[in-house]
Amino acid sequence: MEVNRIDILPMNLESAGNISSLIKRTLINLRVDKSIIRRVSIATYEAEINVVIHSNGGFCEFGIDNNKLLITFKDTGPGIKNIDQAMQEGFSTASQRARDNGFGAGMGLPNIKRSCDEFDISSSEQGTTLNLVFYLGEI
Amino acid sequence: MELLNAKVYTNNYEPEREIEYAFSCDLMSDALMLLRNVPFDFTEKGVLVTGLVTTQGVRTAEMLDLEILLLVRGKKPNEAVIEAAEQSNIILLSTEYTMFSSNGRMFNAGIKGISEL
Repeated sequence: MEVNRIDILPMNLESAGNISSLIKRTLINLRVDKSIIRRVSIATYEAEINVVIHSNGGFCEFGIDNNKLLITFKDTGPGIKNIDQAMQEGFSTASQRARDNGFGAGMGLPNIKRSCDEFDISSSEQGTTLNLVFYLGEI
Repeated sequence: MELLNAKVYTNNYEPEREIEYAFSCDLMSDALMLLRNVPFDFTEKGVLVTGLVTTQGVRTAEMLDLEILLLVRGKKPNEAVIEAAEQSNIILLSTEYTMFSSNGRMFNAGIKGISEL
Protein backbone atom coordinates (compact mmCIF):
# COMPACT_ATOMS: atom_id res chain seq x y z
CA MET A 1 0.00 0.00 0.00
CA GLU A 2 1.31 3.42 -0.96
CA VAL A 3 1.11 5.68 2.09
CA ASN A 4 1.00 9.45 1.84
CA ARG A 5 2.22 11.42 4.84
CA ILE A 6 1.57 15.12 5.33
CA ASP A 7 2.53 17.26 8.32
CA ILE A 8 -0.02 19.41 10.11
CA LEU A 9 1.09 22.66 11.76
CA PRO A 10 -0.50 23.83 15.03
CA MET A 11 -2.93 26.77 14.84
CA ASN A 12 -2.27 27.25 11.13
CA LEU A 13 -5.88 27.93 10.23
CA GLU A 14 -5.02 29.30 6.80
CA SER A 15 -3.87 25.93 5.49
CA ALA A 16 -6.22 23.75 7.57
CA GLY A 17 -8.28 21.68 5.18
CA ASN A 18 -5.57 21.20 2.56
CA ILE A 19 -5.15 17.51 3.42
CA SER A 20 -8.90 16.88 3.35
CA SER A 21 -9.05 18.64 0.00
CA LEU A 22 -6.24 16.42 -1.35
CA ILE A 23 -7.94 13.24 -0.12
CA LYS A 24 -11.24 14.37 -1.63
CA ARG A 25 -9.62 15.02 -5.04
CA THR A 26 -7.88 11.63 -4.87
CA LEU A 27 -11.22 9.88 -4.31
CA ILE A 28 -12.93 11.85 -7.09
CA ASN A 29 -10.17 10.72 -9.49
CA LEU A 30 -10.76 7.12 -8.39
CA ARG A 31 -14.49 7.58 -9.13
CA VAL A 32 -15.52 6.62 -5.62
CA ASP A 33 -19.26 6.97 -4.90
CA LYS A 34 -20.01 10.60 -4.04
CA SER A 35 -21.93 9.81 -0.86
CA ILE A 36 -18.82 8.00 0.44
CA ILE A 37 -16.63 10.93 -0.63
CA ARG A 38 -18.81 13.31 1.35
CA ARG A 39 -18.50 11.17 4.50
CA VAL A 40 -14.72 10.96 4.07
CA SER A 41 -14.47 14.71 3.44
CA ILE A 42 -16.44 15.65 6.55
CA ALA A 43 -14.53 13.24 8.81
CA THR A 44 -11.06 14.13 7.54
CA TYR A 45 -11.79 17.85 7.66
CA GLU A 46 -13.07 17.68 11.25
CA ALA A 47 -10.03 15.57 12.22
CA GLU A 48 -7.61 17.91 10.49
CA ILE A 49 -9.17 20.90 12.23
CA ASN A 50 -8.87 19.07 15.56
CA VAL A 51 -5.11 18.60 15.11
CA VAL A 52 -4.73 22.25 14.06
CA ILE A 53 -6.73 23.82 16.89
CA HIS A 54 -6.05 21.43 19.78
CA SER A 55 -2.56 19.96 19.35
CA ASN A 56 1.11 20.87 19.19
CA GLY A 57 1.10 19.67 15.59
CA GLY A 58 1.24 16.27 13.98
CA PHE A 59 0.66 14.50 10.72
CA CYS A 60 -1.84 12.64 8.60
CA GLU A 61 -1.13 9.39 6.79
CA PHE A 62 -3.50 7.86 4.28
CA GLY A 63 -3.54 5.02 1.82
CA ILE A 64 -5.90 2.63 0.08
CA ASP A 65 -5.73 -1.12 0.62
CA ASN A 66 -8.26 -3.68 -0.63
CA ASN A 67 -10.85 -1.01 -1.39
CA LYS A 68 -10.50 0.42 2.10
CA LEU A 69 -9.27 3.94 2.76
CA LEU A 70 -7.09 3.94 5.87
CA ILE A 71 -6.40 7.30 7.49
CA THR A 72 -4.37 8.08 10.61
CA PHE A 73 -4.14 11.44 12.34
CA LYS A 74 -1.38 11.56 14.93
CA ASP A 75 -0.27 14.51 17.01
CA THR A 76 2.37 15.19 19.65
CA GLY A 77 0.13 16.25 22.50
CA PRO A 78 -1.07 17.55 24.85
CA GLY A 79 -3.65 14.75 24.55
CA ILE A 80 -7.34 14.47 25.40
CA LYS A 81 -7.89 14.29 29.17
CA ASN A 82 -11.20 12.48 28.99
CA ILE A 83 -12.10 10.79 25.69
CA ASP A 84 -15.62 9.84 26.80
CA GLN A 85 -16.32 13.50 27.56
CA ALA A 86 -14.79 14.60 24.22
CA MET A 87 -17.08 12.18 22.41
CA GLN A 88 -20.17 13.89 23.86
CA GLU A 89 -21.93 16.30 21.54
CA GLY A 90 -21.48 19.90 22.65
CA PHE A 91 -18.41 19.35 24.84
CA SER A 92 -15.56 21.58 23.71
CA THR A 93 -12.24 22.90 24.98
CA ALA A 94 -11.57 24.98 21.85
CA SER A 95 -9.81 28.32 22.15
CA GLN A 96 -11.41 31.66 21.30
CA ARG A 97 -9.32 31.80 18.10
CA ALA A 98 -10.70 28.43 16.99
CA ARG A 99 -14.24 29.63 17.79
CA ASP A 100 -13.64 32.85 15.86
CA ASN A 101 -12.87 30.64 12.86
CA GLY A 102 -16.19 28.83 13.09
CA PHE A 103 -15.16 25.80 15.12
CA GLY A 104 -15.39 24.61 18.68
CA ALA A 105 -19.04 23.57 18.80
CA GLY A 106 -18.08 20.27 20.36
CA MET A 107 -19.35 18.27 17.41
CA GLY A 108 -16.04 17.26 15.84
CA LEU A 109 -15.35 13.80 17.25
CA PRO A 110 -19.03 12.70 17.28
CA ASN A 111 -19.35 13.81 13.65
CA ILE A 112 -16.17 11.93 12.69
CA LYS A 113 -17.40 8.74 14.36
CA ARG A 114 -20.75 8.95 12.58
CA SER A 115 -19.12 9.52 9.21
CA CYS A 116 -16.62 6.66 9.11
CA ASP A 117 -16.93 2.87 8.96
CA GLU A 118 -14.31 2.11 11.61
CA PHE A 119 -13.18 4.49 14.34
CA ASP A 120 -10.41 4.12 16.89
CA ILE A 121 -8.95 6.78 19.14
CA SER A 122 -6.28 6.66 21.82
CA SER A 123 -4.72 9.50 23.72
CA SER A 124 -2.07 10.29 26.32
CA GLU A 125 -0.11 13.41 27.23
CA GLN A 126 2.35 12.41 24.50
CA GLY A 127 -0.34 12.71 21.84
CA THR A 128 -3.56 11.51 20.27
CA THR A 129 -3.89 8.93 17.51
CA LEU A 130 -7.05 8.66 15.46
CA ASN A 131 -7.45 5.75 13.06
CA LEU A 132 -10.29 5.89 10.55
CA VAL A 133 -11.35 3.33 7.96
CA PHE A 134 -13.79 3.88 5.08
CA TYR A 135 -15.11 1.12 2.86
CA LEU A 136 -14.92 2.46 -0.69
CA GLY A 137 -16.90 -0.25 -2.47
CA GLU A 138 -15.83 -1.24 -5.99
CA ILE A 139 -13.26 1.19 -7.44
CA MET B 1 -27.80 37.06 -7.53
CA GLU B 2 -29.59 40.29 -8.50
CA LEU B 3 -31.87 39.60 -5.52
CA LEU B 4 -29.02 40.45 -3.15
CA ASN B 5 -27.10 42.82 -5.40
CA ALA B 6 -24.13 40.53 -4.82
CA LYS B 7 -20.57 41.26 -5.82
CA VAL B 8 -18.64 38.41 -7.43
CA TYR B 9 -15.06 37.76 -6.31
CA THR B 10 -14.11 34.71 -8.40
CA ASN B 11 -13.77 34.13 -12.15
CA ASN B 12 -15.99 31.06 -12.18
CA TYR B 13 -19.33 32.91 -11.93
CA GLU B 14 -22.20 31.40 -13.90
CA PRO B 15 -24.90 34.09 -14.34
CA GLU B 16 -27.54 31.62 -15.51
CA ARG B 17 -27.05 29.30 -12.57
CA GLU B 18 -30.24 28.66 -10.57
CA ILE B 19 -30.14 28.51 -6.78
CA GLU B 20 -32.86 26.47 -5.07
CA TYR B 21 -31.47 25.85 -1.60
CA ALA B 22 -29.52 27.65 1.10
CA PHE B 23 -27.98 27.00 4.50
CA SER B 24 -26.84 29.88 6.71
CA CYS B 25 -24.45 29.78 9.65
CA ASP B 26 -21.37 31.37 11.14
CA LEU B 27 -20.42 28.13 12.86
CA MET B 28 -18.81 25.79 10.34
CA SER B 29 -19.23 22.88 12.76
CA ASP B 30 -23.02 23.28 12.36
CA ALA B 31 -22.81 23.07 8.58
CA LEU B 32 -20.59 19.99 8.77
CA MET B 33 -23.01 18.29 11.15
CA LEU B 34 -26.36 19.29 9.65
CA LEU B 35 -25.57 18.99 5.95
CA ARG B 36 -23.83 15.61 6.10
CA ASN B 37 -26.89 13.72 4.89
CA VAL B 38 -28.70 16.23 2.66
CA PRO B 39 -29.58 15.08 -0.89
CA PHE B 40 -27.04 15.90 -3.61
CA ASP B 41 -29.69 18.06 -5.26
CA PHE B 42 -29.41 20.37 -2.23
CA THR B 43 -25.65 20.81 -2.57
CA GLU B 44 -25.65 21.03 -6.37
CA LYS B 45 -28.24 23.82 -6.32
CA GLY B 46 -27.36 25.22 -2.89
CA VAL B 47 -25.53 28.16 -1.40
CA LEU B 48 -23.70 28.43 1.92
CA VAL B 49 -24.43 31.79 3.53
CA THR B 50 -22.05 33.05 6.19
CA GLY B 51 -20.49 36.07 7.83
CA LEU B 52 -17.31 34.08 8.43
CA VAL B 53 -14.68 35.34 6.01
CA THR B 54 -11.85 32.84 6.32
CA THR B 55 -10.46 30.07 4.16
CA GLN B 56 -12.36 27.73 6.48
CA GLY B 57 -15.67 28.93 5.03
CA VAL B 58 -14.38 27.97 1.59
CA ARG B 59 -13.06 24.63 2.80
CA THR B 60 -16.33 23.82 4.55
CA ALA B 61 -18.29 24.54 1.36
CA GLU B 62 -15.86 22.36 -0.59
CA MET B 63 -16.11 19.43 1.81
CA LEU B 64 -19.90 19.58 1.66
CA ASP B 65 -19.97 19.77 -2.18
CA LEU B 66 -21.51 23.25 -2.07
CA GLU B 67 -20.24 25.34 -4.96
CA ILE B 68 -21.49 28.79 -3.95
CA LEU B 69 -20.41 30.73 -0.87
CA LEU B 70 -22.23 33.97 -0.07
CA LEU B 71 -20.67 36.39 2.41
CA VAL B 72 -23.13 38.70 4.19
CA ARG B 73 -22.88 42.08 5.96
CA GLY B 74 -20.58 43.40 3.22
CA LYS B 75 -17.65 41.25 4.32
CA LYS B 76 -14.68 41.46 1.97
CA PRO B 77 -12.54 38.35 1.46
CA ASN B 78 -8.76 38.69 1.42
CA GLU B 79 -6.55 37.30 -1.36
CA ALA B 80 -6.00 33.98 0.43
CA VAL B 81 -9.75 33.39 0.69
CA ILE B 82 -10.34 34.30 -2.96
CA GLU B 83 -7.46 32.08 -4.07
CA ALA B 84 -8.78 29.15 -2.01
CA ALA B 85 -12.20 29.62 -3.62
CA GLU B 86 -10.73 29.74 -7.13
CA GLN B 87 -8.70 26.58 -6.48
CA SER B 88 -11.69 24.72 -5.08
CA ASN B 89 -13.96 25.99 -7.86
CA ILE B 90 -16.23 27.75 -5.35
CA ILE B 91 -18.16 30.77 -6.60
CA LEU B 92 -17.51 33.48 -4.00
CA LEU B 93 -20.12 36.22 -3.63
CA SER B 94 -20.65 39.05 -1.17
CA THR B 95 -23.72 41.11 -0.33
CA GLU B 96 -24.21 44.24 1.76
CA TYR B 97 -27.42 42.79 3.25
CA THR B 98 -27.28 41.31 6.76
CA MET B 99 -27.66 37.59 7.36
CA PHE B 100 -31.31 38.11 8.35
CA SER B 101 -32.21 40.23 5.34
CA SER B 102 -30.30 38.00 2.92
CA ASN B 103 -32.11 34.94 4.20
CA GLY B 104 -35.48 36.71 4.15
CA ARG B 105 -35.06 37.82 0.56
CA MET B 106 -34.02 34.36 -0.54
CA PHE B 107 -36.85 32.67 1.35
CA ASN B 108 -39.38 35.06 -0.17
CA ALA B 109 -38.00 34.18 -3.60
CA GLY B 110 -38.75 30.50 -2.97
CA ILE B 111 -35.28 29.28 -1.95
CA LYS B 112 -35.61 26.43 0.53
CA GLY B 113 -33.60 25.47 3.61
CA ILE B 114 -33.08 22.01 5.10
CA SER B 115 -36.20 22.51 7.23
CA GLU B 116 -38.27 22.69 4.04
CA LEU B 117 -36.92 19.48 2.50
